[in-house]
Amino acid sequence: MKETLPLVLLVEDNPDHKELILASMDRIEKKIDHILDGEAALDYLLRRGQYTGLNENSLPDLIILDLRIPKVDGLKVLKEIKESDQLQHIPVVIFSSSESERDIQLAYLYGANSYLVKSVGSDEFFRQIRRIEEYWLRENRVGKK
Amino acid sequence: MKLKKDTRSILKDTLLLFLPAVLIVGGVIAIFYSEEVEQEIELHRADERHHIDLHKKMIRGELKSILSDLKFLSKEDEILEILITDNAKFRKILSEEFRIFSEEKGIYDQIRLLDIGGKEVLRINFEDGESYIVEEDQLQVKLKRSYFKETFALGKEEIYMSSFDLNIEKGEIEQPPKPVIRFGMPLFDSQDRKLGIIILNYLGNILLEQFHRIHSNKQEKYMLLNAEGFFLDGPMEEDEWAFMYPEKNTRRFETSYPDAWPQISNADSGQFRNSIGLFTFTTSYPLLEAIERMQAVAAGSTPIKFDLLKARLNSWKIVSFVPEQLLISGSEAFLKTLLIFYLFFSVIMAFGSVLLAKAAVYKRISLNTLMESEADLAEAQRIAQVGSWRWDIGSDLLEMSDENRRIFQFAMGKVFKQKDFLNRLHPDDLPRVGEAIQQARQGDQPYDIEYRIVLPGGKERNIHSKGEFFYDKAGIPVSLRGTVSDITRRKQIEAEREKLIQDLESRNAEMEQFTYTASHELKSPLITIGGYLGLLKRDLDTGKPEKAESYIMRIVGGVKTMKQLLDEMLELSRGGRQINPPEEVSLNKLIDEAVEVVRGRLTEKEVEIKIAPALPMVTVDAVRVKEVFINLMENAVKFMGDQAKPLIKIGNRTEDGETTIYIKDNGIGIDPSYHEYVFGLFNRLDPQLDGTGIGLSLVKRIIEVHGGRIWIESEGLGYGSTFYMTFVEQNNKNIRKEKSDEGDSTPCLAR
Repeated sequence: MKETLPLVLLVEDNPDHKELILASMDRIEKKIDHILDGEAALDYLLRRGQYTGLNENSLPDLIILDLRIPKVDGLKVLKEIKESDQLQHIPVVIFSSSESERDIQLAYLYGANSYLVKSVGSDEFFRQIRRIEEYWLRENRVGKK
Repeated sequence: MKLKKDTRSILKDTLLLFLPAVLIVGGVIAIFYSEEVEQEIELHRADERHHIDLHKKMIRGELKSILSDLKFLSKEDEILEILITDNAKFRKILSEEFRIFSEEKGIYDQIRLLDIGGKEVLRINFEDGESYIVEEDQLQVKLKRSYFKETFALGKEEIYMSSFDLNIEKGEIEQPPKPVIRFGMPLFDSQDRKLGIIILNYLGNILLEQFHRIHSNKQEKYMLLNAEGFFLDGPMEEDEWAFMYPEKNTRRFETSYPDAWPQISNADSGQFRNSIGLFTFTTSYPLLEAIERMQAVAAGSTPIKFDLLKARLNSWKIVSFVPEQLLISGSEAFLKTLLIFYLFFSVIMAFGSVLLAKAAVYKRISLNTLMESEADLAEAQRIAQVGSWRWDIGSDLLEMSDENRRIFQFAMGKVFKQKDFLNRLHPDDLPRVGEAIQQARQGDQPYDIEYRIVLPGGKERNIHSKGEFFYDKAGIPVSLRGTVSDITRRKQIEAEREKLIQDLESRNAEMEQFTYTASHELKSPLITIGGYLGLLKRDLDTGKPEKAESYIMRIVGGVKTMKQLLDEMLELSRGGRQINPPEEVSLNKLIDEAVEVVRGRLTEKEVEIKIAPALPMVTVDAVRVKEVFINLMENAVKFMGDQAKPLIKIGNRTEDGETTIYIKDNGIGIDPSYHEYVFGLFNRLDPQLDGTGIGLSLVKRIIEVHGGRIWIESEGLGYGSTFYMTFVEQNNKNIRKEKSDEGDSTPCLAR
């Protein structure tokens, strides 16, 4: 168990939201990498730019992706992930404050595994995070290579 | 009223047709008739001349034969024996010879020999077709008779001819009257001693009968007159021989035809026409002519001698008279035919004229109606702005209504062909129109097309045209007829509407985008606030208040962010409009004011600012444009990075009537791939720095509302950035104003 802690990639530009998310994901032991913008997220996943040479076997087990992120839009990041042979198996959960129909439809069209709208109320917000954690890291664990 | 007027026009037209026709035909008939009359009269003239001539020749022939008889008898040998010796034997022989001669001839009433004493020596009488010798005791002495005296006075070979009169027996006119002419010759012996005379009493009726025979079957009147103008033969029997009766002395030709006599008596021959008829006449000198005739025939023989003067005096007039009525009787029959024809013609013409006049009046009325309805149609076309046309394929002529000509600017009244129409067409539309005509001709599709035309001035108009082919019985297209309407205005409106719809749609889309982006952006700080409030509550509930302060700081930050967002969004919505009237301001003054606003931050970061001294004047909403400079300078300060000598330079360059202002900094710079991105609403490059992502959007909007452009030049991270903006310069105010008006009229939050 020790050697295989699950890895979560959190792409979230809002530092407050990042703190709230991290504070809520406390049930399962795991590692979290946090990235601020879309461009950096793709660099990280594809091991390029500043992330060149990063261990190829340590791809995340789950990606939590905000949509309104700087430089490269979240939907575009999603699309690239799902179009990439190496990355498309990684579950991507969209966690965004956008309730736009267009965003939701496009996200599922591009292959998002789940779309959750950030709740304004704190209890619900924390519950959402915990459910993501429970479901994707425990109940529905994607087999590790 | 109208009916009355029509009737009057019909009557007028009828007369206009009828009268000239009838007059002309009447004239022609009159000419015909007068020519016919002339011709008939001419025929009569010739005929009368001919007959008069025949009569004259007959008289001449008869006289000649009498003179031959006289000469023949005078040459009998026995005559001298009897006159000298009174030999009974010779007398008997001669008497018998004379008797046979008389009977054979049958034209002599008496043949006599008289001696120098005037006593009858021998006499043969002819009565009722028989001749007999008068007994010696019956013979008489005629010494005192004028015929004896005159004949006895003549010389050798001379001939006596009496006047033509009635025989007188024993002092009385013999009854019934017996017209006679006596011919005589003196007789000489071999020593030229005068022994006596021979006398022939010629029966005048013989001559008159022959005279009648010549004109027996003619209606014209022929008359034989003696030199004094008494009738020897005339139309009225009781007028004949009037000179023999003292009581009838006045019955002459002159009495019956007083106007004609002078001309007839004064000329030898002639022909003339007066009010009562045609007269033809000639003068016969019976003895003279007979002798001349005889001498011409028997040339070389002993010439017959005669008293020329007496022969001349003994002359007759042969006269023919054709009464006027008879003269033109044939023509009158012809005239009758002509008049019947004329009557028929007039009647037919009258009916025909009425019919024609009716037709003409009705045609005129219907023509008027047609013209009125044509005028109505033209008016209707003008109002509807629809023209009509007709292309006759055979002649290639293009007939067009007035409105059609107005639309195409084809001169009124001029003749145009199809090529004139094709020349008007916009060159790009020519093939399409040709194809449409072709398809309509084949019946594939009705001719219904929109095309452009280029008018002589170069203006373009949009036309909608519909048409249909018309075919003859054989199915060959004869003409293409249709309508045109000018749809230029409609097209313009359509285009404007289309553009408006597109604008609205794009603005709607923008609006929608803005709405959900904005709601998303606004939700973020709410989530932060809600989240930390939750954490705060949990920590307080569990009695672990160590992190409470940091949570509260986060909550306050969220509230601040929220306020900033709301402020800037409000600002942005104002940026879409000009809320202050444009004024002419110096850019230097305006920038100086902006610098004062951001002075605090500049000082805090120790940023040096350099402003070009002579920036141009602009006419703008000064408050808005000042915000642009505030935003851009704040932006420059914010992205100054760890520059040791931060510097902002503001300057200008002018090209093509456009003033470009730049704000150059030596901060962190912007990767060229994000030069457009940064102007997008809520777009931020660095989420860790403060900011809502509205500022540059607002800047861009204000510049665009003023008719300018804004862009970034930067070679990338570490090279600083330069923002360029254009302003329409002072002397190009109009253009700017136009654009600012447009901005005013379309207020929109999302612009």
